[in-house]
Amino acid sequence: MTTLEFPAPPQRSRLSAFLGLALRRPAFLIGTGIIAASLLIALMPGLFAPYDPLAFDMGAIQQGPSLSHPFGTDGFGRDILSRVLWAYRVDMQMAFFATVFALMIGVTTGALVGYYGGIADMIFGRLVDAVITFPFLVLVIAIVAVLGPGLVNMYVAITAVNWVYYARLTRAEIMAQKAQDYAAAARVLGYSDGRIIFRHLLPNALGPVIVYWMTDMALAILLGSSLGYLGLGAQPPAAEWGVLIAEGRNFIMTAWWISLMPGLAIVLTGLGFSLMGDSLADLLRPKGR
Amino acid sequence: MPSLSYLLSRLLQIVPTFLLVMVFIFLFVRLLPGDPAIAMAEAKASDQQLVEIRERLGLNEPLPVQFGYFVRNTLTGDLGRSILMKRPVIEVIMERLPVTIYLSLYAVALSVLVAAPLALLAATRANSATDVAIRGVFQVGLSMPVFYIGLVLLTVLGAKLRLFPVGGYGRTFFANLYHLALPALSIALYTSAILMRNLRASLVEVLDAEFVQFARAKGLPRRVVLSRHVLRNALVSAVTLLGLSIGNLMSGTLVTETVFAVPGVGRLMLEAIFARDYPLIQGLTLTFAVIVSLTFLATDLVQSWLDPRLRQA
Amino acid sequence: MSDTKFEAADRPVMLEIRNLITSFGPPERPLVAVDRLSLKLRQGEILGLVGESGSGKSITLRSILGLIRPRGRVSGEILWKGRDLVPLSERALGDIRGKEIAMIFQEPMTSLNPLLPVGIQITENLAAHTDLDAASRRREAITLLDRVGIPGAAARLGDFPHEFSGGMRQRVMIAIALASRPALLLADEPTTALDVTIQDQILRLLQSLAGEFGMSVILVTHDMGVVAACCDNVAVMYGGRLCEIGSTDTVIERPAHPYTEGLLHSIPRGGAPRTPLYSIPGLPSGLADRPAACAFASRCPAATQLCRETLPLPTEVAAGRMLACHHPRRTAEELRHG
Repeated sequence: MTTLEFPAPPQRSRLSAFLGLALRRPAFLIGTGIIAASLLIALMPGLFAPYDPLAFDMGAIQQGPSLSHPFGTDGFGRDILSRVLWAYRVDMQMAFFATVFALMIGVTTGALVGYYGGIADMIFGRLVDAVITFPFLVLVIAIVAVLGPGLVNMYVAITAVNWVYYARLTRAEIMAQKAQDYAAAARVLGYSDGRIIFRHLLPNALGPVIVYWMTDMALAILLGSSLGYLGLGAQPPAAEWGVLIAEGRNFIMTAWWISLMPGLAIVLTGLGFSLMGDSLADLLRPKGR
Repeated sequence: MPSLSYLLSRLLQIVPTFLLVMVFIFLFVRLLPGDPAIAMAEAKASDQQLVEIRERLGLNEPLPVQFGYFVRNTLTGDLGRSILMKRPVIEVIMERLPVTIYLSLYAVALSVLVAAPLALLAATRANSATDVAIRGVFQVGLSMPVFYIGLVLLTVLGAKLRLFPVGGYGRTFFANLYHLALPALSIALYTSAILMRNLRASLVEVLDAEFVQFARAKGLPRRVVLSRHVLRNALVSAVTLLGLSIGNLMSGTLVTETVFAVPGVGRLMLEAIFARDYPLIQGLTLTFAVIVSLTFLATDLVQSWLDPRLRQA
Repeated sequence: MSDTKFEAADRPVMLEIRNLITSFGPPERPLVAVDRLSLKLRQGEILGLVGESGSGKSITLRSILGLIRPRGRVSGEILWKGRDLVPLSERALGDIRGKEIAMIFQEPMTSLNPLLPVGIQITENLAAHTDLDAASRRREAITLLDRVGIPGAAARLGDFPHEFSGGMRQRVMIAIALASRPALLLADEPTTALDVTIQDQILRLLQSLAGEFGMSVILVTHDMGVVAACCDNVAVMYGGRLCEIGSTDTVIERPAHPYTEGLLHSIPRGGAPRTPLYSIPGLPSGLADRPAACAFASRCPAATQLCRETLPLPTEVAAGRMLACHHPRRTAEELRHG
């Protein structure tokens, strides 16, 4: 005998309709294009970088942008474009690792708290209030101060704060889904709570969370590079955009390109993630307005 | 005006949240590996000094009692001694705080000046080429980290065009309008992007609202319709957003103070972290939390002053 | 019982609309919300403008005052006391809006500014259109609130809209509209959002105020019962076009357009007020796919090939009776003599 499965709102046909709509939006296409290209560079920087990012060239020190060095060279004659391309590795990692654990922890906690409510929900509410009372960056660098600077510690610090935001969002979505008829029906059919939460409610609640995740990856790059710049994130000689910018800080009067060129990569990638996030949000918004 | 009882109930709501904030900050030093007393003391502290610190923090007592000590010390303004500055933490913070507050208010004023007219322009011509262009530029602004905006401004306006000083802090109010122009602008360009986006959306909504159509149907002059009916209503959500962005704003000052060598509490926080000055880190974290809470409270009050519907809550 | 309420012909025409077209969207592919609408309104006349939602009746009202700008476009003529309002600038319209022609809206919840005390919302109208000083404006506001039946008017000027009930809010809106004694009141479904008992009070209030001030009214509604209760004449709209105009009594007694007949079936007669209404089968077509021929053809029991191919033009079938239909339910003879 097959078990009776209560039909959740159909997913597949919605997905194909959704893709049809998405592909007609320039913002979505541009955003996805930028992110796809960024991933490709992150996977194979050697393929795109014109020079060895670590090779000194004493004949080409602090040269401005030119045809042979589009982003110029730094104080050791290293090609900045190549360094920026190699840095995609660390920065794309940052976008992912600084957010994905927060996403997993936050979604699970938010789903449970939203479904069960009660005392846990009250405590969670206080926790949210307390966490948003700290400026995000202040809390993260305070935690980094305890753990010590470095990329992994930075991930831990960001996750420790950031999961709360995912949990808050998921909680609200789960509560909205819980109020709908199909959730009540699933309960009447006697399904276990775990099954109701994770098979029925969560798939329908995830849309806004995924949208937030996209924007959050943009924020993670901004935050990660800021911490790198401040000396609390990725540590030199690791190639990371914030670190690269910090390296050129002392030459900003004479060789501005060392600092300013790597920033273009931050802006472009951030733009990619937020275009993707915003157009997804538009597409997921209920029609009528 | 909001009633006194509203104010009191709002203050009471803050208490439990702030206790939890205190717990976080309290646990912060206790989570450090090793003896908290050593973390809170200078590197060459004598045994006598360590004993005093243990006494003051109640380290020989159980954790809940220690927390009681911490709350008591904090409420009496005793935040310990800064290792870096060799002075009481509260003194150091109070000295640097005005700079940061000045910078933040300056940044808020600039971002309103930038965002409000552009939002109005974009909203009254929703989906026109002007609208799309304004939104596009701000979208790019949102993708720039504040420290990078700061460096670009510093290079272009400071170093190349020599319009503004590239750092430092002046002595008078007006001198600082000049000295802090670039740091304030760096923060403002980021926050105005958020503000403009939100303000445009709420303006579009309000412009479409029935009561605005009704105001037009009354034959009021356009100026009155816009100021009394449209802007006032859009302002409610803008104030909320500005209030909620205080965290962003503080994060922004932390970074720009570093970029432009402004002697505020943000830069102090970084100095403290690199010097492992835990009493100072603790005090600063608390200070930031207080600023944010007070801003949230002020936001609520302004909101209830603007919106009579919120006054009964 | 014919023509007891309103002696039409001897009153001056206040408003004459000729070939009004209101459209939205890109000019090369316009969405036409109101299509070649023409009607006349005399002094003191209460005209009911009836139709389903989406029939263009609200848009017609908003077109008169130019409120659909800047998004919508208006062409044709809207002659107010002989002067065409269509080409007027926003500023020039400001002298007519609220002063000579006032308007009230459907949703008293959303049509009053939630952040301002109602007193200001009344006096700002007086400030814009009269020379009264602040004290007299305040006195006038109290008189107005009193007149529309708000108890303790003087004490309520400082209250905010959310402190009034729905019916009271609608009274406030009427007071605001009447502040500068307009000659024409455009009422956009003023009772739809209200409870049945309150609806009746508001309608009676409107009727008595119209009589008192000698004011003309265009009352937009989707409810034939409302028309029967208080209108002198009625104009029926479907799909952005006029189907039929005539005096209320004759149209209700002898509807000629199949759509009017359908609408009349939906009035609950004598039965309990909550009995399910008769509804015309099918749905009105959307703005984008409105046919060039008769818009009602797809739902009309009498429709023929002719209706699906040619647009029926409005013709005067009897004195004060206009009809746009290829297959009227009554002969011209019946319409003339009854």
